[in-house]
Amino acid sequence: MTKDPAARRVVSRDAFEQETIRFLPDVRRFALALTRDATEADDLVQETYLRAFKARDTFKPDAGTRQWLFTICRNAFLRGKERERWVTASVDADPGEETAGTVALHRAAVEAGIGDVYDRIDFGPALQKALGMLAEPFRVVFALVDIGGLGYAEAARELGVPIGTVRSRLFRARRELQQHLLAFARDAGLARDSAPESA
Amino acid sequence: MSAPVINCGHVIHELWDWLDGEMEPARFTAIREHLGVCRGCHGHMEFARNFLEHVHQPPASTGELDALRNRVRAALNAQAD
Repeated sequence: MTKDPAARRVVSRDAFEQETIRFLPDVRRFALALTRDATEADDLVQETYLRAFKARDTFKPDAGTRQWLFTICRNAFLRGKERERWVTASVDADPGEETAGTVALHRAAVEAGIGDVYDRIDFGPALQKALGMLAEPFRVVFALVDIGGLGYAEAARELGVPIGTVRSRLFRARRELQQHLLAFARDAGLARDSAPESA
Repeated sequence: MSAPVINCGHVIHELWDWLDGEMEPARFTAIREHLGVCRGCHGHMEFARNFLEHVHQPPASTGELDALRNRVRAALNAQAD
């Protein structure tokens, strides 16, 4: 069978690089959220770009370059780690209750004198540590929406789940992350009830 | 048609949707108006928004990203050859 040459778009390496390399910081943040390890994240970014380059002729620019790279990155991560099983995990809760949980955390933080906790901790490393404590379904949704910048509907399409699942997983991820960050602040002696006793 | 009635319970349950801009414009406006007059809900919203603002800050330094960018370019060059 002879293929129609017009149906195949030939993309040079330079054109590919020009179109994709500006999203490298976004892909790196996304990869770091998935892997929780800087070295692994860098390897995953490189793997993502190499896979994207191989598939460059099938890419439609109007489909959104950044999201295309996220898809490749996530697939490379899942394939590399053989972590497909998370897709079927039953982990969903009521999004409204998760939001209420955040409000309860705020009350607890204010009572402990750390209502400004996010300004007082070394946020980046603390977030990485907290992400490491999240189950994969929550971490992936958090990475897509809060790091990748996807809307709920885009993330739902990306994962092949209903939009309500994205909301419940995202809100639980945020609530759990906040919980861990508050715990770190307490461990560091920042909270009023965790201040060291005077001698 | 009258405007939707919004109370603190509604705002708390829909806080993340509101911060993410994932709701109908009329609902978004009604919640914004509630937040403008309710100190309690406003405080909760600020706490959640502060979290998101920190999350959205890019963590990697320019130097680290430059090194990674160069590494990716070198890998692409090697593959293209």
